Amino acid sequence: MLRNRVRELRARFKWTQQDLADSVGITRQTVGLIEKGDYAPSVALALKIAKSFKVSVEDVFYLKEGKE
Amino acid sequence: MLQRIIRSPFIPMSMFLLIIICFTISTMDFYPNQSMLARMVFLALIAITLCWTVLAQLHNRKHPHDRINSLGLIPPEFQETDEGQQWITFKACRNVYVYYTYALPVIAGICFLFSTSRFIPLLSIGALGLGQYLVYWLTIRKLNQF
Repeated sequence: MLRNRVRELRARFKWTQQDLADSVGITRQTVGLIEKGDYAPSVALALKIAKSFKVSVEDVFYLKEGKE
Repeated sequence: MLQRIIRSPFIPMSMFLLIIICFTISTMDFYPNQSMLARMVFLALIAITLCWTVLAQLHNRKHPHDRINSLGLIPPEFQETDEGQQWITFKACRNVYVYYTYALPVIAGICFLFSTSRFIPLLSIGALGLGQYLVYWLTIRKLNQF
């Protein structure tokens, strides 16, 4: 199951969902979906999110054992 | 706010229901002011269509990168701005498909049972469409809550 640290990283940068959305070029709703774990982003979007936080993709997204 | 109104499934739903109401009234020969009532409903349909078109034009001027094609085949309530929105639309369409899988046989049965009535098939199609828009809207609302 794909988990992420988007909310945590956003808090560290003191960014709102809209700030991250503008930085990556997506809607605020999509940021919310990713944070909730409802939606697993594409590789391209995951790379863009990691780039905007200046970290690697593995620092933002990780796999957790369990049901998909 | 403007975008929410234009892309709301309630606009096409109300247009669809007005079409059903217009047809239903047109078949009610026994009703005294039947033709006038049908014309009034038809005018309401035209008024909603015109209002929506004007709002869509306003939206297109404000957001040239996210234009709404009022003459296109894609329903305006589809959210396709980015991959997250496309995923929401996919989920909503999936749920609508599941709804139709069960609703169509039920409606077919109702139409068969009340085949002598002129109104029941029309009203059944109205109920079927209403359900479609409600399933779509509920899915989108649920996924956009965070």
